[in-house]
Amino acid sequence: MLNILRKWLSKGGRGEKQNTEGEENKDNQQSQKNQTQNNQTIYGQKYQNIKLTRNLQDNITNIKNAMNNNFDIKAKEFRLRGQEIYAGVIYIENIANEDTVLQHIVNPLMIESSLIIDRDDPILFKTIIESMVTAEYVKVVESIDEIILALMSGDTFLCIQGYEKGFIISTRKYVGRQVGEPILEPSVQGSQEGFTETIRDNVGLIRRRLRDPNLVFSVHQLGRRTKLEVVVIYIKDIADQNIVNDVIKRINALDIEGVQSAAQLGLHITDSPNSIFPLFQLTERPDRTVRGLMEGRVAILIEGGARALLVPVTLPLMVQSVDDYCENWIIASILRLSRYVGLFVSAFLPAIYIAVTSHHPGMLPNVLVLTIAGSRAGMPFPAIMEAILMEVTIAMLQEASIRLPRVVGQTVSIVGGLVIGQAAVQAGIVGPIMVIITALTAIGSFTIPDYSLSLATRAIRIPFMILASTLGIFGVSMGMLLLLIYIADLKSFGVRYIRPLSPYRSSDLRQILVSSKKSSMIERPIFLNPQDKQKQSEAKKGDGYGK
Amino acid sequence: MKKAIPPILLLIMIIDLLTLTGCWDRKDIENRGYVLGIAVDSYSPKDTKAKGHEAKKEEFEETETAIGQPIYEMTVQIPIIKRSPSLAASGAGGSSGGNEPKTWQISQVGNAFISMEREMESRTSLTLYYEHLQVLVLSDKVLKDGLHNMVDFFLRHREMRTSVSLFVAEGSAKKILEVVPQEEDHAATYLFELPINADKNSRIAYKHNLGEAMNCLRSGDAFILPRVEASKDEIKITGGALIKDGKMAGWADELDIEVINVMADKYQGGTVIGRLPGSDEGIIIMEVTSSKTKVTPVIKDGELSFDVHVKMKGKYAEQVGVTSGGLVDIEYIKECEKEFAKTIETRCKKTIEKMQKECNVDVFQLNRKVRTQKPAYWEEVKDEWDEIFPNLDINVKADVTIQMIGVMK
Repeated sequence: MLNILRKWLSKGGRGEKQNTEGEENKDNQQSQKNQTQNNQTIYGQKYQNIKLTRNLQDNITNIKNAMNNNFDIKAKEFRLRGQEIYAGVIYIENIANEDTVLQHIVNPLMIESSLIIDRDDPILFKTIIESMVTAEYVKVVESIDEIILALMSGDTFLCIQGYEKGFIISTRKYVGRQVGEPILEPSVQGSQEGFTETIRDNVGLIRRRLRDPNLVFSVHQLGRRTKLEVVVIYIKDIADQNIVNDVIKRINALDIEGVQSAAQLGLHITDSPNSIFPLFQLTERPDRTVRGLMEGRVAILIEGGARALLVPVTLPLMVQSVDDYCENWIIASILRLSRYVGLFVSAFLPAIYIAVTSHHPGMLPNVLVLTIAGSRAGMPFPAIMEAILMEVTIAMLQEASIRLPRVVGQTVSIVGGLVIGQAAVQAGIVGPIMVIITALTAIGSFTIPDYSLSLATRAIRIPFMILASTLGIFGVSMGMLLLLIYIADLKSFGVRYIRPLSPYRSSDLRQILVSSKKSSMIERPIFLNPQDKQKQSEAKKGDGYGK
Repeated sequence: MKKAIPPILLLIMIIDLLTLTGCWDRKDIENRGYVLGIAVDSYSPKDTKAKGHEAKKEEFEETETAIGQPIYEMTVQIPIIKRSPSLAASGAGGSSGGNEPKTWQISQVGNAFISMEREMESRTSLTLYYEHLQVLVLSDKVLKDGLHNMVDFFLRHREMRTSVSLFVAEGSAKKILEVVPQEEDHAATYLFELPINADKNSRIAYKHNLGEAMNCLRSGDAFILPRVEASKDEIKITGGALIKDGKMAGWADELDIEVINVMADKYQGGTVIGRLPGSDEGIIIMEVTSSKTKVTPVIKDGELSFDVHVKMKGKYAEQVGVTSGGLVDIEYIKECEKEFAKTIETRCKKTIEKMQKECNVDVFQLNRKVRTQKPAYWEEVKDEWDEIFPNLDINVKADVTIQMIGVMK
């Protein structure tokens, strides 16, 4: 039975992974091959036939044609000052910074070049790069593929008459939101900065918090069509190199059209796509990302996605919040425990209520049982129907309040609150205790810092209710057992999802369950297999300069 | 290799398992009849005016009645659960009168409790549910027939707990459950909560529940069950019933109860009255805060006797009839302590003598002391304990310490 179950559970991700592990070598070679191929032809066979020629005009036309002559592709031809040499620049006006193009490329070449070189000296290809263009980044290119990718990214291509190669000069313009407050992960004491959609800003936000030369940014292009930059970030002397390699391998092995957000990328590289529990952590907080990096985890940023992906992640890590580290360890532990209670309540409270009231009223004290029975007397539905009804209503309410524009959003809460809270009870459809249970469940799910995790608890809630109503507490405990097996079976980038709850390691456990002072200050959690296990010296225990 | 079951089949199997095997004891909380109390009376057709269902059942039951076995009348009390008034008012606008009965007593006659119980199920739409059973009230007539006869059902029943409190009623036990109490909704709950004041009044017999009573029954020890009396809206614990060999052997009054509590070291608190030192009329009263009793069996020259040492601590609570001063000094306190000790000793002696001579019930469970502390001797005398007990020499010695003298304003 267990085997079947395992097989069934692992059908999505684990099975696949076993396969890949089995043929790891072959796979590795293949992905390497893929990568080299990718490097040669970024856009596949598409532009294989187009070559740069010595003729400037032809080159410009070819490139423009390759990009379908769109209106926003700007090409400008000009003569280098004092010489009979023509040059041309191509860029896309909306994503390239036109000021830079004119100030740092066209202007020096057309006008100021005479200051540097004599009128009679021949302008060599090398001189242009070395002494004429004042832009920040210049690269010599020959393949059309590379040129097109650069143009699409906002760079400018500089082409000189008579050469079969040209320059890519960085002129990218970043249009986007300012760095704003994190909306989904507000914090009381933590920083109030959140990631934006621009990867450059996001990298900056991380850099500013972590001045460590060992911080590594490894850039990859992702997506057949979107060609977005994906940056894998880790601290070289902390992160487990196996995990880093695994992440990079998985990103490079992806052959997809494109992703728009970090969450989508996460779903593509996760261990088990069928898992209802999130196997990667999304965060919009740079400070949380930095903390993750220092724990030895790997962060992934993607252009256009305002979230960082933190892997590997385990269930207890999901329950942590930034504020945990801003408070005294006693307070922080209480806060964290209350979140665990919230997690439990959110997943199991309705099930336990149903089981106890419809199977084991003997578990309730005398007065309580009569109170509940009194409140339920004359109710048309059994407890399970009531619970499902309320659950569906709450689910719809949540969904509605997300979808509705903020202006109308308040209407939902008023209507929903009235309908669920009062009218249903007064009409005698739902018992008042059930309203309390549902409300508690909803509140419990709001205490979970990770949105995906709170969705997961919602997903298991109704199956547990059905178990409770059919088999009572026995069913609930069996369900919990199965859930435990399921969670223990999950892996996030090779790290078991329930670590460090099991296997037992007291220092890790202390750090995760209660944020014990000593362990959280000095040691890094071992379960992520960090290379550098000590955070700070024993001598400075962080209890200030007193004593 | 074995072929794995496809997941969809597995899912169907699980759903089948749930729907086919599950639910057998699923019943929503409002559809159960929570039996809060059971009263057991001895039934005789002559003095009970049975009417309605009970009468019809009577004929029916007689055919099933085992010949020569006592016939019982079992009464269960279930609360009448209506929609709570606030909801009813807001929902339907109906008014709920305050005089509606809050409980329903269902009576049934028979000599097997399980068949009586099942008969009751045919008269109520609720499923009777015994996990919240709090009190079991027995009539003294039932006890005279013997506890062994009837208690089996209550021990075997899946839903009943050994923590059910036992009470004895003189006359009709059913009447106790019919009391409409002032402070609780149900007579059974009210009765269950009564012994809670045993730390204020030492004349309340300490709680005896089904489990403890069973222990005593099985080991053949005598014990005491609290006795209750009912008026229209009140129940009072007065004294207790002495049970010996599973049968009732007499009543103990409230003063006896006090001594029995002391001897059993279950004295939780109460008052002790003494004579005012150096006066003929006045009395002094002590409020006992702690009491410790040590009962030691002593064998001297083959003769068994008991040393009972009572240690009480208390507050000087009140003095009545004091003409002068009213201030106390250390000498006076010492005098008082002696007076209190004297009262305790006389009171103990009186009750002990009553139990020994009049009733011949070893309600102090002295036999247990001998059995555990002098096992060799017990082997010799265990068969003739009934003869030995009345003539035992029991020496009571009391030590009283007054710790506080109260707040003088």
